[in-house]
Amino acid sequence: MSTAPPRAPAGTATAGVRRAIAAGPVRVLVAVATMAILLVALVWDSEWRALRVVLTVLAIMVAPAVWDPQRRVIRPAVGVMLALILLALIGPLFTRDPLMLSAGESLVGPSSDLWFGTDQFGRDIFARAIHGARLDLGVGFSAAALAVVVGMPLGALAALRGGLFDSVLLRISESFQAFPTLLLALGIVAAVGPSIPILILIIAIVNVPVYMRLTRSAVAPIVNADFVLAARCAGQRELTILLRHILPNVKQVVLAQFSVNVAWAIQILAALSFVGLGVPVPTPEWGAMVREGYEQLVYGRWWISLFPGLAILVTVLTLNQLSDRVRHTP
Amino acid sequence: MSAPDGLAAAAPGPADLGASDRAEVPVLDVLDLTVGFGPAAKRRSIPLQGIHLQVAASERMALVGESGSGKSLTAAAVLGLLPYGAEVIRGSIRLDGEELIGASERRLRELRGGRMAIMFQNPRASLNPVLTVGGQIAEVIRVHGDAGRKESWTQAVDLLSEMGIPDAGRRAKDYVHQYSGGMAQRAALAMALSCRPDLLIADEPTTGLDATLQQQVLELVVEQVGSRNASLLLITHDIAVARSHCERTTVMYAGRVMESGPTSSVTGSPKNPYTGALLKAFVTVDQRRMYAIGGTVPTLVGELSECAFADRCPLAAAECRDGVPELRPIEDRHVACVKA
Amino acid sequence: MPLAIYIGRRLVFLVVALFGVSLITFVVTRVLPGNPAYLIVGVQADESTVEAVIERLGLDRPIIEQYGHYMRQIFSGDLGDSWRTKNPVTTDIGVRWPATIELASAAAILAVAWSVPFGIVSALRRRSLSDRLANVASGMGVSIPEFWLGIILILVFFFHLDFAPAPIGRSLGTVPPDVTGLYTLDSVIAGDWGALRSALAQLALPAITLAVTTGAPLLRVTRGFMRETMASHHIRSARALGVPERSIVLRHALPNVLLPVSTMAAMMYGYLLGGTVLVEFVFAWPGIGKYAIDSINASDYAPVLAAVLLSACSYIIVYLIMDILHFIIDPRTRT
Repeated sequence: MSTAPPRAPAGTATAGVRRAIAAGPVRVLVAVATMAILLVALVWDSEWRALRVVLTVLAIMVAPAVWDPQRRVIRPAVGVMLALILLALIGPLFTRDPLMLSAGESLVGPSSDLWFGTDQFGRDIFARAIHGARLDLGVGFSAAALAVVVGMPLGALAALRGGLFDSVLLRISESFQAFPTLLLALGIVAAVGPSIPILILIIAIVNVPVYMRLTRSAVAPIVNADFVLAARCAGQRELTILLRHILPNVKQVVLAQFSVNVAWAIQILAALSFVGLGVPVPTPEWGAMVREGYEQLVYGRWWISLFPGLAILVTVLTLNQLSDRVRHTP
Repeated sequence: MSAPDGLAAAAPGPADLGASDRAEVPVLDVLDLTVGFGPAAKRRSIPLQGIHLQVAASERMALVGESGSGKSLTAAAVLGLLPYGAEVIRGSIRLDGEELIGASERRLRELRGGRMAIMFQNPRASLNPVLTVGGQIAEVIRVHGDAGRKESWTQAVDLLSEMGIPDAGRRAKDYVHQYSGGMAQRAALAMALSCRPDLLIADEPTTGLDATLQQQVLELVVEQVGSRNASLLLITHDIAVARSHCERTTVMYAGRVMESGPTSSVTGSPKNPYTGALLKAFVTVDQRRMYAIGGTVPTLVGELSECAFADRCPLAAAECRDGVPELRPIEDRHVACVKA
Repeated sequence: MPLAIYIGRRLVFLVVALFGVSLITFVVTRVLPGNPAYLIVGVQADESTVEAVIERLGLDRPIIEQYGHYMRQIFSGDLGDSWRTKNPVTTDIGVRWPATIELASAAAILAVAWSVPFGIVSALRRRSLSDRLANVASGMGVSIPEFWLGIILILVFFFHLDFAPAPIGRSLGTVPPDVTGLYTLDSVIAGDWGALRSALAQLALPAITLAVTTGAPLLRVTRGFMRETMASHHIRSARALGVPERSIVLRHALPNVLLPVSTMAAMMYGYLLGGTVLVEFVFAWPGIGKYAIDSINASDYAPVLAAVLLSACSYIIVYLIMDILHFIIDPRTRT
């Protein structure tokens, strides 16, 4: 039964909506929320253009899975993820300025006014954490998207072509595997110098081999599957075969990996910032915030590190759970 | 742990099925076995419903049916190894008169491999890849007796050579990946027969083997079971196999027993229309066109209240839907069909 | 396949992999934008020093030639000098590696000790308490940021409970005489129990932090393989022939699970040996990882490159050793 027939392409949008309505109010709500995010991402004017593009792409990718009752994507993980994205997008509208010094007295613990307390410069940690969501998620999604866009075609090509091309790519990606991701990223950042586009690029680069291997191993067993041979016999073009018959079968694996990869990217970004090689200093980023708190640790000021760290934990956990669900959904 | 006497009398259906001409207790006596999947509160599926099956001492019984008819699940129920989520809802399974339903796990483990044994299809996967073949057989011997390490090993080697494995002393130290499919099945047979069980269940033992090997392995199974005076329950979807190797045949469909009796009469002059259809669908060389049974197997959600074959049966009439047809004695066999 | 041929083949792979690794580090330093001379001597160096370096590295020559030069340097054991410490990088690493080895080994032992048995037990019964707990533990362990966990542990066990010593390096008391470079082993050799206690106390929190984060994926993998094995045909047959559950788990299932799990554990140990950057940083642990970070912050590039190279090599070598061990142990490859 290993050679499952290729899945039909996801239904048209109207069919999706019809099914969503048939599936009950919760799903409709989720679908509407997705559409809302899509809308916000499209019209929300900010300097984060890359984020907008990525979010639009993501919403389009996620939407069919959300309103297709045949595919049971877990509700809690999707819900939390959507909430996080929403928070990243519109949350900053409702907070104080994350860079404003002396938003409150410096180094005071959480209170009803300043929920997460203030840091050594009197900045509002809550505001910084919300703004950090935008940066971390934005960089995470962009880096993972970049890695998937480069890695997936390479992997698919390697599996299709085989031969020298395949073995050279395989050796290169194996060599990459020998490096701990973080140390490799550190080495490159140290050489090139940190800035946000460079960080995205570097995190993407260290993740490309992962997608390459993944796609290759997913495509390789079906390159010679009967349905691919049948399509070839029917005289279809190679590109059509790749797009219509092969890639839909690896979509799920890649999507699951994508989610994990966003999580990794966020972890790498936070780690780089934590050791002082990530985002430049006043930028609100979770890892950098944990670092600021680490310096205050000797005085027992726990809140500066605690909340941004929790934010990383919740985000990464959600992304990992999402990935598990996608992977195990038939 | 013998069953209360009342149970046999209370259980519906014929109690002396298949053992009519013998006075002694049947080796395997399955009565009204019904198995459900999933929690009782919800609409659970019922993959086995009211199974009756009896295998007498040193008798060879074939259990025939399409895939999904519940043959293997019946075997699993007999061994007390139902898959996760499945449970026996009612009925009784007795081995040499001893009730197995509700027996302790400890007792069941003594019986498994000791008094009843099984060999599966795909022999190479059913031996452990990281333990030696001889070691696995010896372990089963040790578990069920008081043989020591050395003694059990010698017995294992003897068994392997009895099953026709050349140079058994050396081959016993090998691992399953060094065995061919046919040899692995011989080893699996050796393991199953290592404690001289009263009943051997062979679950499609030749599936996945070369056609030339199939006959050899089956003959070996029959010969070895015969020489040990054990009974055989041969699960197969191949009526030809049943015909050439078993005295009696039970036909299953959609989790029910449709017909049961001497192989020659069941396959020679079937009384149940399903058996007839199954025989017709069985391709022979001189046949021009393959016969296919129309319609599909019913989904087994909830207990059926009619004949399971009614939807596809050429003889179906209104009375077929007035409840589940009981397995009743007709001439030399038992048939579950109101039209028979 | 005879062992010798297998080892030979793996060694060829090793060479290929090391070649790939060197190529990657070379590309990172030479091809990416920025003048590598500054990376070598540091930004504060004056013009003539920079020119001397350009001359010495042959940066004005074709890229292929540069690569040849670079390889020759590596093979002669010359990884450059650190201008921050004024020592050859190899000397600096020689001093710091024992600290990393000690931490990595302690972490690896702890990680295997909690995750593998837990993974095995939790796979035995679906939806049992241990199954659910394992689910939570692996999910959290994979997602928790290592550096943050370290901070929380310091906060709880040092500041609030006063359980653990201050997170400032390997030892607070006397340092045992150097034999292996591992303080714990050296104190045992010297019979200095006070030093041993101090070394272990310093080791505890960083090792636990790493054990949590590296144990979690190990737990996941162990549980996955154990589940798969317990559902396999040969386990079903063994059960169907009355083999007791104890033997099913320990004799029939465990070897099938430990083979792949040990590969995974070896990979993790290989990674750890290359420097546990974040944890060493948080606990001021004077190992390779902290060396790399300190050097980066001082724009001292040679040590960074050496640390990257070292970690890749240690990974490849540990993996190779595990691979050969498997070849010897696993009956499927042995014969």
